[in-house]
Amino acid sequence: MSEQSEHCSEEEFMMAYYDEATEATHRHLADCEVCRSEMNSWRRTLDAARKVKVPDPGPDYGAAVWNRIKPRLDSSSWERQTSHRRSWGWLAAGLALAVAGYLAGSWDRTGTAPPSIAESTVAAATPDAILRFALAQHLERSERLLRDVANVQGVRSTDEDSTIPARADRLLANNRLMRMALIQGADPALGRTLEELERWLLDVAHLGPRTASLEEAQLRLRQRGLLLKLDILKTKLDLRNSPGGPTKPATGDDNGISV
Amino acid sequence: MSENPIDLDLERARLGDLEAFRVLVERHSRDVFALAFRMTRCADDADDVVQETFMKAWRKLPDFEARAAFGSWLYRIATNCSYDLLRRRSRRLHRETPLEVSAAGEVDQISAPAGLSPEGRLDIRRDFDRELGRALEDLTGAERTAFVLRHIEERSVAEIGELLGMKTNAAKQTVFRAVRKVRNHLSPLMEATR
Ligand SMILES: [Zn+2]
Repeated sequence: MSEQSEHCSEEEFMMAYYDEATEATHRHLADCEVCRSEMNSWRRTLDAARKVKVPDPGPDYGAAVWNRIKPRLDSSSWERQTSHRRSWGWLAAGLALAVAGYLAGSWDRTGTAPPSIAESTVAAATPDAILRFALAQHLERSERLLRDVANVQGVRSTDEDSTIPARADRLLANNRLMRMALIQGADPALGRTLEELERWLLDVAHLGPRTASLEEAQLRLRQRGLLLKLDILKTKLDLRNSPGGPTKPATGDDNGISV
Repeated sequence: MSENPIDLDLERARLGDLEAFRVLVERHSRDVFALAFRMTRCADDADDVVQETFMKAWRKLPDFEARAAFGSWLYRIATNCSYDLLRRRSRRLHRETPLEVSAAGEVDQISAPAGLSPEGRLDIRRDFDRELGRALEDLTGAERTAFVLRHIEERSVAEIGELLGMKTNAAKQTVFRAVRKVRNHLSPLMEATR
C-alpha cells in the first residue's frame, strides 16, 4: 500500500490533463506504467466530454433577439437613467480634477488631469459651485468648437481644421462627467442637451471616410440647433456672466479658487 | 488620439442610442447563444440567457468602462446569467432535453471497439451523451459553470474565480469536484466500450 501513495492523485491527473502538472508529476508519469495508463483513461473520458455541438440558431438570430428584447428595453429606459448611481463624492472628486485641469491650463494641451494646484481648494467648495464653474468652462470651450466647425468653409483643409477632431475628443470626457452630474442632479432636461452635444462631439472626434464628414457634422449642428440649445442652457443656469477664463465659483468664501 | 479604433456603435449605445445598441445585439447574439448553450445544454434556456444578457447589458452600459473589451464584458454578463439560470433550474429539478450531440463524424471521439458498425458507434455515442447529460445535471450550478468554463471554454482557474466571485483556490476546488464527478459518471461507460 505504501507504493500506492506514490502514484498520482486524482487532482494530479486533472492538473496534468489541463497541462498544469508539476515537474514531479511529469517525472512520475514518465516512469510509471500504471499512472500512464490511468492518465490515458482520464484523457479519453475528458476528451470525449469536450465536444458540445451547439445548434445553429440561424443567420437572423441577432435580429430575432432584437425584436424580442426591444419592447422591454424601451420600458427600462427610466431605470437606465437612474442607474447612474454615482455618489456625489465621486462626482465632486471627478469634477474637481476636471476643474483643476482647466485651471492649470494644461488641459488643452494634454487632455489629462494636471498637477494638483487647485485640487484641494476646489474640493473644499460645494459640489454645486464646482459643477457650475466647471460647466461654465466646458460650455464655453464647446461653444467655441461649435462655432469653429460651423464656420469652416467648403472642403479646404487647414491646420486649424485638423485640430477640430482633437479638440472634440478632449471635450468628450468632461462632457460625460457633466452630463452624469446633471442627470444625477436636479436637471435631466439639461442633461439631455449635454447628451446631444456628446453625440455630436463623438462624431466630430472621429471624422473620417467611414464615419461622418465635416460637412455632415456641420449639417447636424444646424439641424439639431445645438448652438441655440447651449445658449439656452447657459441662460438657464445663469452662467452667462461667467464665461471665458477661470473665475471664482460662487461659493462666497475666500478660499475658493484663485489663479 | 485613440490608438485602437473606437467602436462608434458602442459609444453611441452608451449614450442611450437604441439603434446603435441594436447593431451590438445583432453582432454578438450568436456568440452569446453558443456560450449559453454550452452552459445550459438547452436551446430554450440558452435563448432566455441571450435575452437576459442583452437586457442587463443595456441597463449596465452607462457603467461600462470604455477601456474594457465589450466582448469580454458581455461574456461575463452571459456567464452570470447562465449561472443564475442553472441555479434556479437545479431547484426545480429540470430535465434537459436529450442532446442531439454528435454528428456521425464525432463518434470516433470515443474509443469504440474496432470493427463496430457505424450504427453501433452511434449507439455508443448516444449512451455517452446521455450519461454526460446526467453527470452535468448532478453538478451544482457553480460546479457546472466552472466545468464548462474550464473544460469547454478553456478559461483559466483564475478567470473562473473572478467570474464566479470566488478565490482562485476555491475555484480550483470547484473545477476539481466537477471534473471528478463527470469522470466518475463516464468512466464505467468508457471502460465498457474498450
Ligand atoms: Zn504511478
